Amino acid sequence: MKTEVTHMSKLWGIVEQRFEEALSCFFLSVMACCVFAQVVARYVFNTAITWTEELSGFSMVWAVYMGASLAVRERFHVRIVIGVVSLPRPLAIGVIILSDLCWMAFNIFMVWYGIEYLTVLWEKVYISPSLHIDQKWPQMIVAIGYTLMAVRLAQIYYLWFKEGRHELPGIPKESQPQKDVPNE
Amino acid sequence: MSDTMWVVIVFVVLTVMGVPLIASVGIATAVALFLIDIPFTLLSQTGFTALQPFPLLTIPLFILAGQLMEKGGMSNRLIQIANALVGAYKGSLGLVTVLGCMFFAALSGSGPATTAAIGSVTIPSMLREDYSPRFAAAVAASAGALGSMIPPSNLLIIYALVAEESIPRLFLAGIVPGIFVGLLLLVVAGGICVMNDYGGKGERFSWRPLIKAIWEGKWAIGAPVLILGGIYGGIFTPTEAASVAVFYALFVGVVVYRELNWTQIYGALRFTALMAGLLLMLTPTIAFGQLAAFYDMPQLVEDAILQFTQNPIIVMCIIGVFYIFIGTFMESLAQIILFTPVLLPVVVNLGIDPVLFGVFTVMTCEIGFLTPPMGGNLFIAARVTGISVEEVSIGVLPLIVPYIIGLLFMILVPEFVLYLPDFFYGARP
Amino acid sequence: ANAKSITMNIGWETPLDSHYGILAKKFKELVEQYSNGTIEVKLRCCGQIATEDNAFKAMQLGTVDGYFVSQNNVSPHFPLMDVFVLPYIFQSQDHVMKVTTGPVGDEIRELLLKDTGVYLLTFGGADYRDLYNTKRPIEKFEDFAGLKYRVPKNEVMIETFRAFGAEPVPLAWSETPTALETGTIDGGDNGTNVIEEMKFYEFAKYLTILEHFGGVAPLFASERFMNKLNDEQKAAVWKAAEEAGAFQAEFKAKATEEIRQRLVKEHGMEISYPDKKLFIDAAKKVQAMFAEKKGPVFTEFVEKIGAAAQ
Ligand code: NA
Ligand code: NA
Repeated sequence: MKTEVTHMSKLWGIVEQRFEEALSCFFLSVMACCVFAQVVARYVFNTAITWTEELSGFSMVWAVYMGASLAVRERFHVRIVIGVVSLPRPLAIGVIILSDLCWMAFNIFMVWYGIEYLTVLWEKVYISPSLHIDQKWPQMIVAIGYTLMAVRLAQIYYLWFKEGRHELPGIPKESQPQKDVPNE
Repeated sequence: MSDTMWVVIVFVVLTVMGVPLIASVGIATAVALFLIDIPFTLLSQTGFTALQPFPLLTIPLFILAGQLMEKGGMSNRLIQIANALVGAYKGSLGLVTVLGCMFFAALSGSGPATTAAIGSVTIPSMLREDYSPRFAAAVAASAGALGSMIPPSNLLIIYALVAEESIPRLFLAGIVPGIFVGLLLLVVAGGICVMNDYGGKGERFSWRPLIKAIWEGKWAIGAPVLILGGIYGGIFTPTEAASVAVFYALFVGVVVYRELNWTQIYGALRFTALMAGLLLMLTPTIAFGQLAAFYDMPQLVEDAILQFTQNPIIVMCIIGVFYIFIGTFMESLAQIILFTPVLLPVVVNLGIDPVLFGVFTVMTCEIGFLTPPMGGNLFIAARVTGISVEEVSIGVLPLIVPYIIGLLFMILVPEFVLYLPDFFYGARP
Repeated sequence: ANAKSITMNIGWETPLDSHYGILAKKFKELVEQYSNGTIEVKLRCCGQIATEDNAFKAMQLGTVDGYFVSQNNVSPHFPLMDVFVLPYIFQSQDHVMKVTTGPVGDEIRELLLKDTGVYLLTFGGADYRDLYNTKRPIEKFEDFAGLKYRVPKNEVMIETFRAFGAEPVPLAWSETPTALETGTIDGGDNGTNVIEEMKFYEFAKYLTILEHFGGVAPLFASERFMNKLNDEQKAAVWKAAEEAGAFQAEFKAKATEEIRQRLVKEHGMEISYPDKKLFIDAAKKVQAMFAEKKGPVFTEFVEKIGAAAQ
């Protein structure tokens, strides 16, 4: 029983760590192969493949969203923190929490309207021109992607609280103000 | 207050507060949609469609190719060639760094990646030969920025997409300014080394080691030949060229050099995934661009500038100063996609070639890589060297001068940029 | 009753003075006149407010009021539109007009609104796609062999080029000018005006008139916009659209021949008119192939269009 629990939590740990990363790498590989296949088909087999462009385009979008969620986890998103990190610590924490609340609000907003968009896709025909698949499937990624990002953002704060709130939340290591981190 | 002002204020306040750019552009766009009564689903639709243009795929593909080439041992071979060329001169390792970056720039699409690829090898060697850490970091940072000018270039691709320009033309236009700035960097770096009596203990120049180094680096030299030759020979489109570069790098790294293993390949993919994630910023920005049309924004900016002056040279100087200022704190991708749609129509009406404006824009972005607080190359060089970003940014100051000269040159003598593309494809009316 | 003033943003992907612009400007003038100034039309050219591939969906969402969408960008949302894409489905300009302004056109309009929620305001005039290539003059069917022609990502078009013996290269429009410049493709086909507007004659010297694809790029409007209008305003929009469409059709009929002449005389293209017989034979096979694939409603429309020629 006990080993089962540790197996589960180990598995969960891997999923937590690798989920978006692995998917993004997968879609990037699909993309690279598709575009390359287009060249190979043209010169080696003397034919034109019609579906590679569309499939690689869809893979690109999925890779970007998965990468974006990974970037939330890694605090890699571009933000201008020069103002925030120069504030006194309590104020800095207040401002960064406020700006992350704005970010969270935007994520939720995009999930909401991503779903509304999806309902339109669900009701109306929209067939992709070369793969002939219904666009609602690939385009679901907008709602999925922002959901993942919202979850990852919440996770950053969960860990920040759990680990004792030493750093400024949501800001990568190299941008942390050195002097304000209490020595404990 | 006008609707436009509200939108701008929301964007500026959120950005300064530290809201990630994707959200601050997104929220400003949502406010703009609300004010002119357009459904919010516009943001959801561009959330997908903005990432679909086929040429956009070029960017992650070139990032991946650059990673594989670096990890697969190509950067080392290029440094050997540079070493055989200039190893005997004063400040040889500084010169090797600049040359190595110029070579690697022809494989890689990104400035920070070029700094990482060459700097991670040459900076430690410079420190061993008692170069000052400040100089060692600064020369790698500044020469690495060439990665975004000498083709292939991700920033030029982004510009091409936003401005609907031809990628091959822009690539050709980047060659002369890229090499010119590289040569100036050699002069400045050499001068600093002579003044401080750095290095110069390498073997005297002779042909045999150079030929040996070139022979050993032939696969690395083959990459730009394949990429650019393929594009200009009409064999494949730039997007396809990027995928060819990926598989070429894989082949050389795994089969020829045998330096690539699964962990490294996965690492390269993971890094590319993170960088691709940043492209999400395009989605609200393109939605915002569509709204800028509803608000007649380019017209407003144009009127404001033209009220002040009609002289294209002065206008370009103003834009240059503005871009360099923006580039101090803004990431270059964001700079290009936010400001090109607004400023390009203005300069085109003044008779400036969009290709020239693209190279000009990217040159200001390169300066942005070298200025704190937000300077991609500074971060990397500082981390490799183990000193602070402030320290590097002081060291980099004299090495920014070549970029400024390059900028002025292209404002005053457009042929400097346009000669090559016009020669190849014919001048445009 | 006092109608409140309403703004309509109309977009298209080509420059302000292109054929879309001709219709749009006329429409603006007429709508503003017929609605007594209660509808203001703003013209957004050059893909500023949407690209053509995304515009139809944008109108379903209501984020764009009106847009010109060519038939092959409509078919993903309304597969029946593919009947217009079939090669040699139209026998002449006249035939196109008979179809689009007659009962068949009305039927398509109603079906489209029912299925997609988008209004087709007017078909406008028809275009033929003219061929250009960088390699050689096309004098006869065999000259097509092995030429790499760019085709839009549309299966009918791809199959047609294959049937003509060429090598179709499906490319996004965004990559087409570059591909022509670098020689990745040997040529392509577009509306005659597009060849001139895009300056394709700089690279491609050979112009071929086959009239294989006749095309329309109707002006559409979103349901969200149309629902804002009262009955008088709606009547004004329909009336203006019909007249502006006729105006553009007349303009296009004249302009196409003029542009072809300009392409030859001013821009140095070499023009050829190969015998269409073998091409039409090849096209019939493509027609049959898709009629079978797309089912009875599609086949029925193919027949109706054929009948309208008489
Ligand atoms: Na480069
Ligand atoms: Na900067």
